[in-house]
Amino acid sequence: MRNHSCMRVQRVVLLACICASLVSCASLHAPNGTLPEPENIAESVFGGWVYLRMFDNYTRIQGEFIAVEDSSIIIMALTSSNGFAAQRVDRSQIEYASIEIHTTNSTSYGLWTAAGTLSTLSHGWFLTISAPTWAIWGSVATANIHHGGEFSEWKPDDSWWRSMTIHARFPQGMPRGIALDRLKSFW
Amino acid sequence: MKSIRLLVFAIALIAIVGGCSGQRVVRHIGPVSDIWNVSSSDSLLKVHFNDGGLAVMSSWHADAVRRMIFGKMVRYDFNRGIIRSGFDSARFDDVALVESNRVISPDALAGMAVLSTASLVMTGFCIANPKACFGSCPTFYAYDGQRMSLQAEGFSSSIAPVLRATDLDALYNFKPSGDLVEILMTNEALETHVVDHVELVALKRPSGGGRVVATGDGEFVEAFGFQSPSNAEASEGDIRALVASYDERERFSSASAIDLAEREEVDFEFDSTRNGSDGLVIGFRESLMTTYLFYQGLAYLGSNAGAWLASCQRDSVVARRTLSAMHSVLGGIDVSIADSNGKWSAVGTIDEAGPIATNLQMIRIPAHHSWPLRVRLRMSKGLWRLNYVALATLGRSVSPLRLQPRSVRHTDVDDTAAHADLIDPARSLVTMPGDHFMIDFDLPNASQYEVFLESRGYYLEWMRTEWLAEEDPIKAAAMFAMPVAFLKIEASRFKLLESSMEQEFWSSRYAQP
Repeated sequence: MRNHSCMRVQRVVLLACICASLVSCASLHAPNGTLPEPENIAESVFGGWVYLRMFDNYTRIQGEFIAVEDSSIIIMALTSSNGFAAQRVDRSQIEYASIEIHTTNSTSYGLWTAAGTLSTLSHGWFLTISAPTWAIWGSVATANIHHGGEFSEWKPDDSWWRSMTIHARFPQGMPRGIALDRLKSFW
Repeated sequence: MKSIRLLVFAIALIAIVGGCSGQRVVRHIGPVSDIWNVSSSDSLLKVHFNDGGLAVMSSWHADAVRRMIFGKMVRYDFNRGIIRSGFDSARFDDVALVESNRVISPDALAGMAVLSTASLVMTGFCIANPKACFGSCPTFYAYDGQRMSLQAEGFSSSIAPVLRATDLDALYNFKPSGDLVEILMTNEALETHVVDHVELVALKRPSGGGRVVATGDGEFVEAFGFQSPSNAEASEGDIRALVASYDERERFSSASAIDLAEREEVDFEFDSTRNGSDGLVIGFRESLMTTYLFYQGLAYLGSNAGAWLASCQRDSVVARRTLSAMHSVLGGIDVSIADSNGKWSAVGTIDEAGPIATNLQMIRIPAHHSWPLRVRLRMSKGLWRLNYVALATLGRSVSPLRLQPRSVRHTDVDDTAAHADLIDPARSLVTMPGDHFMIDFDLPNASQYEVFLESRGYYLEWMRTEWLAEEDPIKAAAMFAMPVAFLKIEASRFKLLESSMEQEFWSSRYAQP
């Protein structure tokens, strides 16, 4: 009876560690080719990639971050036909926002962490110690690399959006005289 | 089981929280006034314009006086389509924000803070010897009968707005034909040139083969019967052949290895029994010693160069005194004549900055002197290159005809804006590395005139990244406060470069016409 309980504990711990590793592989929303590598960011001429989840719990809007306005933000949004169209989004309706400004290699890091965790299967009772160690340190490194290129916020408020303007195509705000329908995307 | 679930949750929670460092981007955006705080390690500058456009700039520098940013840039419209690329400028008033980005990795080196930098990519020589890099103000080309040849350089000492000056250069080898005078103005160095005006100064040549020469004060005098010296002795011996004609041959010496201000003397004798007033006509130019000292000074100032120039701008009296300290010690070419007892008396000093084009100046010799006329030139060793020395009989002073450009061409197309910049007293023409402007003047029967070029303006040297490694505030201070001592300390360093500098200098021109 006691041996069965121990085995169960080990499996639960291992499963939890693997899940924790995979959680740290926060996936990038930006399509391939839309974001620069970190070392090339100084030459990038577009805004970051913004991903929004609205309070209605099913609407998702994502695209190039164009500008911040008093009560809205402007996005060059990805449409259902895989084109782009400039769109004004009411900030009060945004439940979650994420802005990515460059690519990361966090996916490979997360998988490495998970692989490292799986390798502890042979450790027996030591699994309880070594598996969490892999999960913790690998995931910590992964989370930091990813955070370097991504900013996210639940129920983002005005001060958060103001701090994010530096990642917009127009950090100075929407230029005067430019209507939304004149905006184009080069992706 | 409950305790196990809590353990799993805690592990998962810890896994999500960060702690280690990876690669990060630090982005700074601010108003254009923040540009002075942009670090050189943020080598690309992004300029966001009020109209939504964007410029990504490299090799840039900001000019506080003209409120402009200059540099190599790619210019985008609000949809990020490329408008143009190359050397360009942006007005502060058009700028909404400036942006810098820095990628930080665990083994990142500490950055340097400067106002502007330029990467030396021109030639291997220039990279190996940054102090030998071509520089020194606008260069002017004119037709010499065979080709457009370099004949003048403008305001060589005007290295800052506060030192803006008017310069007069004789186009002694100019062979005009027809009624059109074409002067090619170029920016062949890593500099920004601010040219207020360029005018042609023309004087009718006297009959009988005479010429018109100018004194250092800008007086124009008819001159006849140019006579080469019967004797010309320097430390190395007879130099008559080197100074007999206004040509490519020059007499020059090596600098002292102990003191760059150490003097040397070159003596000349002129045999004549003619009556009338005489003038000593000297063709000369500086060696690269002053170029070296100027660039070395910027190197010692390093990241403080911009701030120092800005401080000069705030106090012009102090600026002139500071910037002329070195020049005062090095001096010009002091001219003396000997009386019948062999006693030397000072006549005056000939002086004009610039290592590129030969200058021609006349200095009046007192009426009452003995023959043969003995003339002594005393100057800092290795600083001056003598092209031509002659004694002329002087005629009357003459008044010049001053001509403004009738048109300016840029890449063979009329540039009305550039033309307006040069003739409107309230405007200036700003040129960037590689710029060429053909300036046209109407001068009927031009071959009958002696032609001089008057230019006014200043220029800004671009800091080279390679110089920043030599930042030394103590030596920079010594250069201005103790120039006598500084020139002794720096002598051995200059000697290491002296022999190769000339070739490297001319090889490193950014652009050639």
